[in-house]
Amino acid sequence: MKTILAPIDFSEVSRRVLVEAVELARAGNARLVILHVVQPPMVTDSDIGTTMSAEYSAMASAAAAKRLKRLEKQVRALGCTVQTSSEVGFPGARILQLAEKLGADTIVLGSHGHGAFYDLVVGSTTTRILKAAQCPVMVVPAAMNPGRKAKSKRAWEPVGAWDA
Amino acid sequence: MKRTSPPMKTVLAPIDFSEISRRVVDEAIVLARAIGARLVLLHVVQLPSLLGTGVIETDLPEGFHLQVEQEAVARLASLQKQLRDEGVTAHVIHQVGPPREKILEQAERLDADYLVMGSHGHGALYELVVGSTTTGILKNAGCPVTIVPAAKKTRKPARTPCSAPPHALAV
Repeated sequence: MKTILAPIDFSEVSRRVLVEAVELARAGNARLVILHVVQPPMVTDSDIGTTMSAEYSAMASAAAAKRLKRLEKQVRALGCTVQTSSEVGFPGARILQLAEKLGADTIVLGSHGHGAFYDLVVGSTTTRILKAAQCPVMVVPAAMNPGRKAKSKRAWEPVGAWDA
Repeated sequence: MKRTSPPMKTVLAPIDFSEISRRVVDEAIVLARAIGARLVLLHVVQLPSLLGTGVIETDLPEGFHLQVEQEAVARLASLQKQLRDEGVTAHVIHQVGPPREKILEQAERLDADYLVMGSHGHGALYELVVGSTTTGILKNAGCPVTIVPAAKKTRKPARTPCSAPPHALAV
């Protein structure tokens, strides 16, 4: 069974990423792994900062796990083999690590998101993945052309999981 | 016009007959099969820039452009035949001009649902991260773009205290 890895960050483009990843997984009868990476906030070199950062990461990770579970349920209901994973770390590195560990056949990600800095061309995390990934990477744009949108009208859309 | 069934989807794979192209074609075939889409292979003939070469347009042998174009048509036809022998139906088209513009133009004209292309190729200048044509496509495409990596990179061997690259062991 092939494996599709879909890193999402619950941004608007992530919604498109999920729709595309689910469609791909269903068409290719592949296992879908949805990953969310919580990036710990930068802290100065102080014990309080480090503790707060760790607390924040743990909280954010737990919240993400809940949302991921809701998504997992929806996707499974479509007859898809699906797993979710919530991790803490630098998104680019984590995504590549998991892709390698799973032996992912395709990574589906958004052209933006996944990072604090908005690149003009392609997001920094996406650029990093494109540079280092061993497998094909499907980059989903934030805006689809109208003709394509019309064709995939009946596609599944995530419901509710975007509300924290 | 009344549509009874959803229109057929299209996978568009721009190729430049570089090393990566066969991998791109294979990936596009897998995708097209999975979603039941038609496969279109696009080759953009980029005419060599004469800028700074000291050669001027009129110095080129007569019919140069036509010859370059005919060569592209022949290569596409040969690839199409090879794929047919493998049981794959592919439509082929060629265009002459700057790759990025032509690829986007055809993607729009064909109402492409997916683009599949190599991380490099399609341009004279090799960028460190992603080729310039590919970057331009990623920025402007209205559909998902699958980027196929240049080559299966060999996985880094697990780091062990006494591991040394093979060449370091040769005396």
